[in-house]
Amino acid sequence: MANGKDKPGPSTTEGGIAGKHDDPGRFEVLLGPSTGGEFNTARLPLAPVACFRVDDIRFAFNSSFIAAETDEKNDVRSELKLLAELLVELPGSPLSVFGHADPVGDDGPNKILSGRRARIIYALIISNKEPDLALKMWQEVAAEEKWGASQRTNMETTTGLPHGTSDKELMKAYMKALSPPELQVGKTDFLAQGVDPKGKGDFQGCSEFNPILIFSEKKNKELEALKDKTPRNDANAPNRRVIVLLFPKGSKVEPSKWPCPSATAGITDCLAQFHKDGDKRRKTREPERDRTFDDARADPAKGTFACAFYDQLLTSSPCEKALSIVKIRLFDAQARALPFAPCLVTLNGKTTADRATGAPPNPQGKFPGSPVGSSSTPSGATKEDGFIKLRVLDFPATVNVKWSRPKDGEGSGAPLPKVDDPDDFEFEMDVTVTIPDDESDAASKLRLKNLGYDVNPPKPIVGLEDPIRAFQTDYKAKFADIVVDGTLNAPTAKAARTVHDACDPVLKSGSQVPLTR
Amino acid sequence: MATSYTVRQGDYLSKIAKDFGFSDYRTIWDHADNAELKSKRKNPNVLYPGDKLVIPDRVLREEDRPVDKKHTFKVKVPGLRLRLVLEDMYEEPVANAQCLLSIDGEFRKVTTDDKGKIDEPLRPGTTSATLIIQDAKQTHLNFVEIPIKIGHLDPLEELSGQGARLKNLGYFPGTVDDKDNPAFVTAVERFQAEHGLTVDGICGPKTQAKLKDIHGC
Repeated sequence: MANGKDKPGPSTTEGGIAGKHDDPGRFEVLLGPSTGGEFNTARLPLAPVACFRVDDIRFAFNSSFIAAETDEKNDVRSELKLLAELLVELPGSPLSVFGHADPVGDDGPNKILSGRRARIIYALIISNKEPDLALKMWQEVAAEEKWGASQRTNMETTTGLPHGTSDKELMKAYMKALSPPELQVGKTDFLAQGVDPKGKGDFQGCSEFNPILIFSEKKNKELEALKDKTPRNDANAPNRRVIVLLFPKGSKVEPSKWPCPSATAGITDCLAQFHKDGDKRRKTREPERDRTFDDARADPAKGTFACAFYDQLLTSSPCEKALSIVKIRLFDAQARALPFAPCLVTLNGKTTADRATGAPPNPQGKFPGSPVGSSSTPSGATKEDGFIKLRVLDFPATVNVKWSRPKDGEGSGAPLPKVDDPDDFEFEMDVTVTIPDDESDAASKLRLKNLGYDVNPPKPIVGLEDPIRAFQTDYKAKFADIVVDGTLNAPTAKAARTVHDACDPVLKSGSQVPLTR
Repeated sequence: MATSYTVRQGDYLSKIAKDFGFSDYRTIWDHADNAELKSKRKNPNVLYPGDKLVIPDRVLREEDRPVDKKHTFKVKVPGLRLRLVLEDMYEEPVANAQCLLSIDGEFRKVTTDDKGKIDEPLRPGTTSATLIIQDAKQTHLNFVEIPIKIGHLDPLEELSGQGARLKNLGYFPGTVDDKDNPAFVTAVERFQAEHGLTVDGICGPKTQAKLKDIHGC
């Protein structure tokens, strides 16, 4: 399950992903050799070489406004850096932007909505080289959506400009702040080279025609039954995305020959590009299972995209895969979560420095370090202390984590640990991420190992000669049916699973530092 | 005793002939026992997996010549060629472009003509080649690797053959095993619409004829 290929996989950030397309079969020709006058004709397609995605999380809810965060690692700047890197690897690749809306709502309005997000991203990408055009485009969207005080506040905070600065100056400075200087892309660096005043060929909105996630009947029913639509909207977030495709250097399209209508136009031309069964593809729900973009990989006829044109452009795109999240929660020997613990995570050969998430410090400025279970913070944040979250395309077998207890007063703003000094950490563990979804011995042993009760440690651990007995002793208070007898019986296996999956260990007597997923 | 041979995917007659030790595929193709298949398939190099060929015995041919002189025997075999016309997505030919053609590990410099055509000799038995366009006017096609599967084009009257030609022509991205496959039907409709045929999504004789005309075989 770990990525064993030589090619580096796509890069992900908190709010996006960038990667190369890999489809040698694209240009394959089936040829009949000739003994008479026969010949064969091959019409070579326009196939993207790479893609880049900005997720819904970067946009304010139900809006095309891009919200900046105080830490640029947490906002669109990290995705734009990915794009800049991709353009270094593939210089001169023309771009085209595709905005998408989720299936809630009607096709017409959703086309406009998705079109606006495409316009915003397009403008942001060209903002360094074409600031005036970029500003004009943002102003147009701002007027259409009636941006107001909250957007202004966000922009003022990010740019540091005083209240009362003109909208124009504010927006200009904001875009400058959001766009990394190394991103130098102009109008002519897009697929239609900016020749069409409405941007045909350069940016477009796909309405809700190409979802990557279609809820099962069951899930849809549950979500629609709730009065509060927030859970439904959250669950639908993967569909609200902006995809930027990179094409082979030298590619060019004539707007009149490009099938997609402009970002502000209606849906008629989109419908002309639909698969014969396009509506079925984008609307059909399965009774129990969510349909995803990946279904098309197994069988192209089962894809979720209605638009045949978009479908064939994106067949080998890593960017349309929904990412999975691996959550690892760190605890110390007293089973306390470790917020803000500096850590070094090695996944699929790539090592990144990170810091576990944590509750903000309490008003006295003291470091929380509170026992598990008492993590309600003034802001009402969920129990998120001590989590490391990794976005992955495929679940790896294990993830290597090195970490230390955070020093007193160290919070999320503290500088990240240095990647090149891996020995500077107190603890290390290979956390097993892919565990069979049952209570077999094998699965239970993996869970116990993650929890700190390694049945087969590389070196015997003092004080933990009998890990199963130790686990049973520690947890018998919590689980009535555990008998302390040192055997991996059913109640023990069940308890291990419950504790492990809930990330909720109790104070224990052992000296090992436990980890859970 | 003549043997029967069942065609497999990737087989083409010149290759089969060579495998059975015949330098001239016509010895097999023109044999009376293969008349039915010949009239059905017409193109000896576009056969279908499952087709049955009768391979005649090799007949010893005797030629009388004086022993004290040197004689040269030339085997006249109709040449096998790789003929491919390259176009971009707008149906503009990839004209007068230098390309690198690799067949059986051997590299050859070839240039497309005004209409984007390459016409190269082929050794019977070759099953694959790779073409890399190097200096096309359509610069985005340069350095793209085009794998060519020789002999994998199925006959026109078979669904897979129709699908393969539509794929080569860019109407259809995958393989088809069901004539009602919506993507295939759309591809047929597009092809029909663009070539002045009745648009009904069915690849009947008229559509097939046009497909052969446009595709080349």
